[in-house]
Amino acid sequence: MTAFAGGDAARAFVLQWADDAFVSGHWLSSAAGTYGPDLEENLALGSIAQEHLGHARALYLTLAGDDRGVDRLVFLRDAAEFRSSSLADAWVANDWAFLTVKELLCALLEVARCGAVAEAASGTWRDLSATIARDVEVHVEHWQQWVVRLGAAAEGRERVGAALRVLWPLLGDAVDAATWRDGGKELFGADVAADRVLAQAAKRGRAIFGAAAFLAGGSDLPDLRPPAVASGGRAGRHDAAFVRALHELQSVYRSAPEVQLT
Amino acid sequence: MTVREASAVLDADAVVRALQDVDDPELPISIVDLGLVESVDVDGEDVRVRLLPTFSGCPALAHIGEHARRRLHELTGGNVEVTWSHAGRWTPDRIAPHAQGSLAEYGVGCIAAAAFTAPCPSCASPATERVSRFGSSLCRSSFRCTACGSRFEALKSPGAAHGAPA
Repeated sequence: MTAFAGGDAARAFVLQWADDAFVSGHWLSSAAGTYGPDLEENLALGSIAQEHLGHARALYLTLAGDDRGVDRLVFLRDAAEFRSSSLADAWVANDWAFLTVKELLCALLEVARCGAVAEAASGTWRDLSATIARDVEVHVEHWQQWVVRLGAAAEGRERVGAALRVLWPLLGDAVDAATWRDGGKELFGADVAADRVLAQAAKRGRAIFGAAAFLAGGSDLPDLRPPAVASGGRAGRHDAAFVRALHELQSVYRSAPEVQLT
Repeated sequence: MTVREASAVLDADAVVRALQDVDDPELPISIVDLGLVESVDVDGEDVRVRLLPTFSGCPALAHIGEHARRRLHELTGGNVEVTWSHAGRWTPDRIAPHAQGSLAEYGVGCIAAAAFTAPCPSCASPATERVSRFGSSLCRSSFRCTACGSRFEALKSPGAAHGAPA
């Protein structure tokens, strides 16, 4: 077991990162097999979910040192202790356009965050962030292709537009300037600049969505700024659906935490 | 209890031979033939092995690491360290040529890192088309052989697109 080499801010930064991957992956894995429009897409959902969960495990391992510790982080924290963003938390049953927009925005944020970490860090952190970015770029491409397909018809454009109105502002809340700055300094000796990460993700998002085509009435996607203080999921506030899903996920482990799976 | 093997000299070759006994849980080949062994360091009785994951999100990493550790504890009474490295990129080119035959018999093809497609593991025809970038596990894409009609999966590289349309 290797001890985590960082202070409270570093721990908070990595926990946000890991929780984002874990929560996105858990929601997606719960839908794999049924949510997609065809068999191939359901296989894709399974793979993308697995990749999120694998990234989460790699990040949790840096905090916990071993798999038993990872289990404790996942199964023994209450909802208010999770720091996943409200964007990662967002979930609607059976709305393909919503899932497409959510996954794409999450992927854009992840690639931008990994890029900032790779720039600030060296050694294993640089390698890990580069690996995550490499994997998630494939997700960007996948969801981007779905935006193009959905945008080909009026109904698809309307649905994507409706999802964007809900999810785009959550992209702004998914960065946490103070934690990323202090955590980056502790962990890598350099800031992870939340405003730059956000700007980069938003720039790619605008280019992909070609907002005018999806938002009626000539409106555009609003400018985003990092919030002054951590908000929503970053402050431990999660909705009832999140709490229910977490209870279901944790119930078996909590009933018999002594059982070792490996 | 640790069962130590009678071995004159513990060296990197002996470590690699021992790891030939550790199979990938989803494929009929060893982690050595799959190309997961990145480096082996032997210092007296102590062994350090670095493994390269096919995909960083592979759910079998803990299982493989544990089996490798157990096998090496049978080999040496010294310290055993098995770690996963994120420096470098696994590709199907790392699979040993003789193991590609075992994979083909198992019905699994390989996409060479520089190629956009995989020959059919059943009839060896190069006339195949990709059905989906994704497959039944993280490291596979789905294909169809236009020569014999087989549906099959092929091991792919992580990251960058293979160039074929989705």
